[in-house]
Amino acid sequence: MLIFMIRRLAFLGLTLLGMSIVLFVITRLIPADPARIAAGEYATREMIQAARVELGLDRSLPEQYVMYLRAVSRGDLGRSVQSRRPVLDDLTTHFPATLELSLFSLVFSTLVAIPLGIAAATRRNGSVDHVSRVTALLGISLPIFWFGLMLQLVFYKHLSWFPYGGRLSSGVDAPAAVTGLYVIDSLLALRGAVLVDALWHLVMPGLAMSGITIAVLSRMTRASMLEVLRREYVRVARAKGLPERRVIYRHALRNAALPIVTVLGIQFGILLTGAVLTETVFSWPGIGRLAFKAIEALDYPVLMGFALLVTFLFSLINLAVDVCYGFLDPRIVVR
Amino acid sequence: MIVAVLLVAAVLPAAFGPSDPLALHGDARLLPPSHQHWLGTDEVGRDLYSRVVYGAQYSLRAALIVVMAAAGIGTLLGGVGAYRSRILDEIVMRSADIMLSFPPLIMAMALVAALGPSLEHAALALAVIWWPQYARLVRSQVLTVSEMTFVEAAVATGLGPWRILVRHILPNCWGSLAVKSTLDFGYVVLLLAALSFIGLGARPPIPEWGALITTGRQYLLDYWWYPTFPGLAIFVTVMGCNLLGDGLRDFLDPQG
Repeated sequence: MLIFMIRRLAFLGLTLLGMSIVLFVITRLIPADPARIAAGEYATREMIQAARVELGLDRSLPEQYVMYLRAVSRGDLGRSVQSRRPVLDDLTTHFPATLELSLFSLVFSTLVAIPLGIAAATRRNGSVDHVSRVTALLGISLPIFWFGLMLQLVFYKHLSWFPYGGRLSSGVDAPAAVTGLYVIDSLLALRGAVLVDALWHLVMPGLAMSGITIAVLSRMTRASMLEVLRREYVRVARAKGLPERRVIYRHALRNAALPIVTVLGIQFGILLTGAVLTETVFSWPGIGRLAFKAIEALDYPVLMGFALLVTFLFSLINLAVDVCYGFLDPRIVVR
Repeated sequence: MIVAVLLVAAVLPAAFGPSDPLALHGDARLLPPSHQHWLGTDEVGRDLYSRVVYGAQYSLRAALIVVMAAAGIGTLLGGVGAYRSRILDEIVMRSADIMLSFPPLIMAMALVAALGPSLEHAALALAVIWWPQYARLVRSQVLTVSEMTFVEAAVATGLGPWRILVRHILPNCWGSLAVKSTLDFGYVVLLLAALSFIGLGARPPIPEWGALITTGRQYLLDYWWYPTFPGLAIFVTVMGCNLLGDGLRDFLDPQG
């Protein structure tokens, strides 16, 4: 197990190094001159030159890369052009909103997709199976942002069931920040009304994001369950006279879990990245919307910081999935 | 079927588009769908139906370029690496590992933002991101196929490695390549529209579908048809590709 972990961590290190090179190259492609931006709008030529020296832009590319690596490992991602605050601060204040939305969507998709996949597998080619097939097709074909707009049209404008966007209704104070996730913070503060309001605002964006996850997860659950249900031990469990529910949930699902967990992990990463679209549609104050605004304002430091953070989280989640493998299936470690 | 209709629309919009997608009619702003304007009109009185039909050109052409470029580069690097050059194989696969560990949308955002927002740059960025998937696919296929007896026979007859790779090995990879490209095509259409939506793809007045939705979004609550129909076009396209891809897979590999 230990060797497996070390190897996996080393790989993560290599990947991150590779990614940092790619992102560094991208930041050098940017047409705007960082020195000019840093020096300000009315800077003279000498001031820009001074800023260039200060930022190290007059040195060779490999030197600049090392400086960039040092800065990033200190958590220094530069300063936002708009807010003038350090990029890392901007990202950390907006991150809980994104995390809450992604977690909500992940939980919701799991609750829908896994039972759907199991039902589709146990009654193969039955009506549930067809429903799951159509759901999956819709889920992968719907553009997230357009689906979000359609939800707003139906559930906000015509039915007025859910709010248009945002995290809380105006007039509702955010709960004292402990985790930054309003659902958990309002629970900790025992403020029921805030909890309901926060959940209320989560429904539409959460649903809009969940399409793909439900599609992929339910298909994977179905395929994996079908594979397992054919096995001998399932037949033995049935022959022992165990109730079907127990056979499916205790004997089959556990063994079918490995691919499902993989997909779940990968999807969580994808949800974090898909947040850019959903948050833009629903005015959700997370890092995705921050990035969207950075695009509009040509705020490159924020955009690159966002890319770096999300990519880092993405690989971290993949690592976590791999580690989960080790626990779910001890045979993997041996290899 | 769906894909065929879309291709006709992309190649020959005149067959569908009854009017000029850029013609302004100041007195016909934001009209609801009617006989005259099947899908309504936009904020400056342009016919939305025509715009959606002409939009197919932009969306589909860009997606086609992305998939073809990615498949071409991927096949070349993956195939040659797997069959001939260990060093190339090692370089290609390690860079593929790194590229694949980026979330595609984020990588595309960073690249396009750096290059400057436009549909061409969006397509370029996606092609850069996409080739490793094809390199991996072709590599694994080539490794499997080159173990087979008919390849040994070809080697035994003294054919050159290039000829064997191009004439004997690669044709056996086309099936899975076709399936993957079809499925990817839909996904790329989706991503291109998403990039346009966040302001990193096609810019108005180009009637690209994602860009249409971006502009139409401001009118969502009062003029529902504006963002609805371009989105429907994307949805139908992607669904068509997914169905076609699945169909192709069943056709090429009935056991799977």
